[in-house]
Amino acid sequence: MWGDLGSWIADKLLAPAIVASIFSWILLLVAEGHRARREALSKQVETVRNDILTMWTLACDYWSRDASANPEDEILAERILLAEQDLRYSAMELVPSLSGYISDTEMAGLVADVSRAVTSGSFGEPDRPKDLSRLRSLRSATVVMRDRLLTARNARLRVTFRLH
Amino acid sequence: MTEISIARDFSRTPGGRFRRHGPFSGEDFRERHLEGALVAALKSGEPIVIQFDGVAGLPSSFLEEAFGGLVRRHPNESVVRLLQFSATERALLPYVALAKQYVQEAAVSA
Repeated sequence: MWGDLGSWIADKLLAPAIVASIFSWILLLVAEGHRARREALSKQVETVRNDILTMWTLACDYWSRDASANPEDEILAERILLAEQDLRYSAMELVPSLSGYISDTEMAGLVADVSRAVTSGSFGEPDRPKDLSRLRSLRSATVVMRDRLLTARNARLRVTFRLH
Repeated sequence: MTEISIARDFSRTPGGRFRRHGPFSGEDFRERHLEGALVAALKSGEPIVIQFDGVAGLPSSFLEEAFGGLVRRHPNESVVRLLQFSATERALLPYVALAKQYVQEAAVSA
């Protein structure tokens, strides 16, 4: 009698409970993996957005004045080049995370447009006149880049969610 | 094929557009490295590969003066075909894109 009861408990209660536990555990792992990937990707995109903002702030300071009006113009130009370097790295490092949604070539083109808006023309020249049209070019390039990044990120996250 | 590495043969930190504004300018690079290589390439038909690996950063004005300036001074259809750009470091690919843009724009306006 006790043997039958033991078998019944094992068959009807214990086995389903174990299966349910394993299933829940797998679901939890998958959900946790998805959350970690989502957070990592969002953090990478946020870094790029911050780097764009830094470029924008420095560029406003630089191109809104004649070079002769700012004794630290040369230092500002160096800071812009450093910010451009940060943006290049953060944006291009994002490509593998958005694989299938944005290519190296497309991202390089987006970054190139931002760089060009800020560091072309008379950039770095001691007799450089102020040029507010550059800020408009920069705003245009950064809006295109930001929108493209967000679209790619959202598409990537939608697929990740569907798969899991 | 001639390979010119900007970092190895010129500077890891190139400067701006003109020589009068400081060292390692685009004008300097064009005159010291590109002009001679282009004359040889036009004779041999072999491409010039510009390698960006190792540079710490480049102002767009450097790229425009070096490559756009070269095409403006040699308005020959072959020049565009002979100039090739390369970077294995992913973060330097925007410079490859910019250099190609400047070459194409100079070719159209030449």
